Formats: sequence, C-alpha cells, structure tokens
Amino acid sequence: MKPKHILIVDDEASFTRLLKVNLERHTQHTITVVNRPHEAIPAAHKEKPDLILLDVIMPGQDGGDLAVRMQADPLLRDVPIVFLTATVSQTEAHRGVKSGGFTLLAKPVSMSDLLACLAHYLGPTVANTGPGTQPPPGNRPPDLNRSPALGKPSVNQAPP
Amino acid sequence: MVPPPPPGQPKEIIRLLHVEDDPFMGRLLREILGKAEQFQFTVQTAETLAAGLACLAAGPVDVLLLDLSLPDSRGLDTVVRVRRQFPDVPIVVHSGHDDERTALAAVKLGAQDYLVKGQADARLIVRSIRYAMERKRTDDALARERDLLHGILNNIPDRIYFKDSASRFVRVNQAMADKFGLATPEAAAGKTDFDFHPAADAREFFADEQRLLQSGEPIINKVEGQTAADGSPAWASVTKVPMRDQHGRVTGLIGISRDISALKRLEASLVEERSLLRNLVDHLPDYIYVLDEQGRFLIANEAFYQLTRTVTPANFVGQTASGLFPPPVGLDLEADDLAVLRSGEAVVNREEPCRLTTEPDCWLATTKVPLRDPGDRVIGLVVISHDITERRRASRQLQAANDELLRANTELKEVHLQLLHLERLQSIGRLAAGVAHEVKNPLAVLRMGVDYVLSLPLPPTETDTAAKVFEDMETAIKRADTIIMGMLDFSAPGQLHLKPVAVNQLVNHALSLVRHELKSNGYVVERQLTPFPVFALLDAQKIDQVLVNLLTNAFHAMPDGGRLTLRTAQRTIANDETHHDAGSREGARFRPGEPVIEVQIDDTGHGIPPEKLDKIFDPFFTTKETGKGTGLGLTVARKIVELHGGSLEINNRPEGGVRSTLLFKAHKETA
Repeated sequence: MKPKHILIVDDEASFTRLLKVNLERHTQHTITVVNRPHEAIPAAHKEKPDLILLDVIMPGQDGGDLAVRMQADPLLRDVPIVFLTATVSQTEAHRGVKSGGFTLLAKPVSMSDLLACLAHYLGPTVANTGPGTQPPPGNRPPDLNRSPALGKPSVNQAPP
Repeated sequence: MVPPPPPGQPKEIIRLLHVEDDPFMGRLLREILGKAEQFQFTVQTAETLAAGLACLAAGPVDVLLLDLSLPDSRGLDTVVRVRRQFPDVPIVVHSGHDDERTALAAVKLGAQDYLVKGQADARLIVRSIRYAMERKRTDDALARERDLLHGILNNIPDRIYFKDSASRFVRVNQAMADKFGLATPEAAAGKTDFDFHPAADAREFFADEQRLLQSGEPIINKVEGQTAADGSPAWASVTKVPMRDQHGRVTGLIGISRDISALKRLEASLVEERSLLRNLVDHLPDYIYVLDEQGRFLIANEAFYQLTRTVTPANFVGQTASGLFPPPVGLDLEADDLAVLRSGEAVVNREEPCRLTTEPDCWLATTKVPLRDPGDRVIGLVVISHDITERRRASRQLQAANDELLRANTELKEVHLQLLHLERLQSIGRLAAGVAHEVKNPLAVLRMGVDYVLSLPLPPTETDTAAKVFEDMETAIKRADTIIMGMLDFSAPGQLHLKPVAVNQLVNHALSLVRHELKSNGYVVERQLTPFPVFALLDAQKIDQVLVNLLTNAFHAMPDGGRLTLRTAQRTIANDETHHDAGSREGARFRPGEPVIEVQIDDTGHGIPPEKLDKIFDPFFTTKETGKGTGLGLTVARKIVELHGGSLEINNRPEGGVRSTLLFKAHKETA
C-alpha cells in the first residue's frame, strides 16, 4: 500500500508532537502538523492530504466550523475528516451525534484505536513491529465504572 | 227666745265682768241677773278700767258689761282699749248716753251690743248679753274663715281668679297678680284676659268662659297652651267653675290655673328621648327584644320582625317565646331567657347558631342583660343579637386561604429545593464540559507518551518492570478518563432512542455484562422475573447502563459474596402510593391506577448509612473507597431513569442490604 499523507490540526503542540512521532513509528504515512487552526485550510490546499485529523475545541476557530468549510471547498470536499475531541462523552462518540457524518475519536485515544480507524480510511497500515498494534476494540456496551469503548470508525453507526 | 231648761237640768253658768264705777248700778244689775231663769250668772265687778282689765287677765270671763264713763277711762276709747288687749271677749256697752252714733261707733270698734242705762229691763239685758256672746262667736268664726281663705289665696302657687259675667276680673290672688306683673292683686279688678294675654289666647279663653257662663258646665283640668312672659311656650292646667247667686243664677266664675310648663317640658323631653331610643332600636341592624320578668315579650325591633318573619308588631306583646315559636326552638329560647332572669347573670356575646330563621348557617353573637328596678330587683330582660354570619364566613375563608397559602408555600419550598438541585446539576454540567476539555487533552498527551515509550526498544532487564509500569499508567489514564466520561454523560445525556423493550430480556442482558464479576466472588443470583414478557418504552442501551451500574454497586456492597435478587413485576400504582422525592423535579410522576413495570435489585450487603441515604444521588458522592467509584454512577442513573419518565429509589432493606427499585410506565401494547 502506498504511503498516504495525513494532516493533523490541533492546538496542543505537545500532543501533536507525540502523535506525529507515534504515527511515523507505526506507519509510513507522511504527517503534517498544523497547530494554528487558521492555517489549516491553506495547509490542506498545499499538502493535499488523504485524511485530516481535526481537533474540535481550538482557540479562535471551532473544529466543526473548519470541517464545514472544508466540505464546502471543492479541493477538500472528498478528504475524509476524523475528529479528535476532548469534549464528547462516550455515548456521543458511539453515535457520532455531533459529527454530522464525520468519524469521531475521543481523547485520550490509544494508538491501537487510532491505527484501526486510519486503516479503515487509508487501507492496512504498513506496520512497524510494535506492541501498539492491536485489533480494534469490540463493540462493547457502556459501563460507567469501566474504561469507555471508543467510537468505531464507522459513520453514524447504530447502537447494538 | 231661749227656752227655759227642762226642770231638774242645771242652768248654764255665765261668768260676767261688770266694769262700773256706780255701786248702785252694780247692785241693781246683780239683782236683775239673779232673777234670770235660763242662766246662772256669776258677776264680778270692777270700778275702774284698770281693775277690769286685771280681772280679764286673771280669769275666764264669758262676757264683759262695760260702762263708758269710768274714773280712768271715758267714752269709746274704753272699748278700744279693752279690744286691743282682749280681742276675744264679747263686749256689751252699758252707757248712760242714748246716742245712736256713739252706739254704732262702739259696735264698729268691736262691741257686740249697746245698752242705754235705764232703758233696758232685765229680759233685754239678759238677751243682749246672751246675743252678744253668740254674735262674738259667729264673728270670730267668720274672721277665721276669711283669714283661711286669704291665706290660701295669697299663698297658693296656683293662680286663682274671680270673674264676672262679662269675663272681667273681679279679684285675683297673689300668684295671678305676680304672673300678670301687677303691683297688687286689687289692680286686676275690671281688667280682662285681653289686657294680659296675646289676642288669640284671650279670644279662646273668652269663648270658653262665655260657654261656661251660659251652660253652667264647668271646665275641669283643661290644658291650655300659653305664651310665657319671656315668649317661651308655657302650659297651664285650667279649671273654671261657675259662681251662682242665692237663686242659682250664674253670676260669674272662679278660675284656677296651674302652671304645668315644667311638667310639660319634662314630658316632652321624655317623649323625645323615648322616640329617639325607639328610633335607634328600630334602625339598629341587631335583633333586639325586651321581656318582662315573666319572660313575656314587651318590645321588639324591626330587625327582629324581619328575622323571624312570624313575629309582627301586632302579635307578640305579652306572648312568651314558646307561644311565638314552634317547639323545640321556642321552648329552648324561653328556658334560656328565664334562666338569665332567675340568675340575674348577664350573658355577653355568646356565639350561637340562629334558630329563629330559616336562613341556613346563620350565626349570632347574643347578649342578654337583666333589667333591674331601683331596688335592684330583676324586672325584665334585654336581648340583643348581632349577626356574625358574614364574619364567621370570612373567618372560615381566611382560614381556608391561609391553609391554601401554607400548602402553596410548602410546594414552593419543594420546587425551590428542586430548582436548587437542578441548578447545582447544571453548573456541574458546565463545569464538567470545561474540565473534560482541560483534562482530556493532557490525558491524550500521556496516552500518546505511553504508546511512544512502549514502541521503544527496552533493555531486556527492564522489560517486565516496564510492562507493569506502562500498564499501571494506562489504567490510571483510563480511570481519569472514565470519571470525565461520567461527568460528560451526566451533563449532556443526549437524546433517548425509545423503543418498546422486553424488560426481562434487558435484565438478563445486564446480568450477562457483569458475568465476570459474578464468577469471581461466588455470588448467588436469584431471578424472580414475570413468566410473561413485559414491555416498556426505553432506550435499551441507557437502561443497560443503569442496570449495570446498580448491579456493580450491589457487588461492591458484597465484597465477600452474597445473594443478588432480581425481580420484575407488572402492577398498578396504589391509591396511597407516592413516589415523592423532594430533591427531584420528576417526583410523584405516577398516578394511582397507572400500570407500571417494576424492576427490583436486592443485595445482602452492608447497606447505606441512614445519614447518607439522601446524598447518594448527589454528584461525586460515593461511599466506596478511592478508585472504586466515580461518585457519578447513581447521579447519572437516576437522571437517565427520570428522562424515561420513570423513577429510581434506593432504600435499605429491613433485613439488611439495599433494595433498588426502578419503575417505568408499562408500554400500552403489553399493559
């Protein structure tokens, strides 16, 4: 599988730095990071990514608005967007209620979940041999006292 | 002629004093008198006036025979001197002068008779003496009568007058003269009423008097309005009787007029006072009646007539209450009034239902006061009843309004509590969203960091330890994230996806989700589920979450194992059943008779300390040790249940452990 290009838009530099390192370690995709939201669309125009990982709450620019603008942009209309958000609850993540058709991953996200999601859009990862590569989690019901199940990388998936 | 006394009867003794300076005349008289047949004379003789006066002073003398030519007194002066000192003794003058003028003068000066010496024989002398005594007695009696009359006329306050046939005053008494402003009573003579009264009054008096003079009919106690001297109205009670001559002809009239103005004024003021009182009594809205000492009606007022309808001014006087009103009302009223009359103890403002009217729910405040005479004897009873129906009604309404207000206040307090609770939850929700963003980002960095380090080659000696450390770190991140997740769930539970759900199936599913817990500690699980499927309109995933939460709590309460009982039932809400939770807006949402599905989960654990029972639904309240619970489980669980229109209650069971009870409206397809 040919390496793809991923654009990360998130204002948390410490997070994007680690995310970039991990993705480069686990995949052969090209990773571009934008920490200022207003640079996201110019960067997308320039880089022509195959997928955009987009934070929701950012200073000065809401990730949701940004996604709407990208969808309206003829150059970016077909680029899949995966939200990485710190504000959704587990059930919302499941249903993708806020995503309006986008896939939504709740922070903190494990590499295994993230890789599973990327594989869904970009094809199987050229995996480095690392312990983070795990099968995507099963469709488990919620349990408040337990680790939350993360959203499946499907669009508006119905509950079990 | 005085007849001689019958034989054997003693002769009348006459004590005679003879004042005579001629001794011959003295002897002669004794001789003459000694022969008198009817009388026995005892004769004293005095030769001077002084001696004679001394004899008069000394003893009883029936008659005085007086010579006018004495050594110490001469002529008529002698009569005057005797009369001045002794007005009562009859005097016969025995004089040597045969002079008619002197004789008349002597009689006018007080002598009773006049004899001329030598012309009077024995019989004439005796008769003269005897007649003189008689005349003196008559004169004195007349004088007394006259004095008496004058005394009366001049001292009586009544006005007395005599009029002739032309209504002219002949004579008036002092009181009349005073009234007319005359100097003396005599000044009235010849005047008429027209001289003293206004013409209109005088004409009326004149007409009255002319009628009287013609008919001879007296006027007795006629009340005449007059005008007093000062112009104020005056009244007189007037009696006029005809005066007749010896032939019975009416020659004039006697009038007696008594001033009764003061009496009249008193009477008028009494009438006025009485009328005022009567007016007052009649126009008072209170019901008033007065009884005599026997309990018989004397007075009642308009209000009382209108209250009873049966009592009228014409029919009640002298009646008793039992005669006026049908039994038992009349009898009871009479007994009550008589009791007050007998005891003399007043009843004041006694509140009682009114039984004298057909009006429903009429109430009175009744006062009964005994009437007493000046000797403090009870002579009657005054009863005054004030209608307090409106006051009582208003009072009752006020009470009702007050009760209503209290109820409203209680409800308001409850709502206030609920709002407070809600507000707290909302602020917690906003806080949760903020905290989630601020905490989840660092957690994301940590999670990425752990993944990064895990992908690094580690020295073989560290591999085991590192794997453990990274696992702990991952767990810690998950735990922190779980709390944030719970908070977010609570703050924005989102929309429900309701479908008819088979409740027994849902319970079984929830149990299957916690099966690994079941296995680990040897719990006994008992299912008491309905043998038929029951349905409720639920979001299966959310209720699953609730059930798992409740089951997890049950396991945590029984760390050393125990019995878990799951129960489902379909029933209807009982009449006295309330689902009341002061802290919840959704409290008491079920109505009696409503079909519900009930799910109960019983454990045999340590239960919940009573003082903490009312806090278990509060966010971040937990009884579990750190790390075992977020303090959000029940908060979210209840919120989810209430969003379904259901209720969640958690109680300690009397036999120990906790019972969680879920109620949902039964879905109508199955109800």
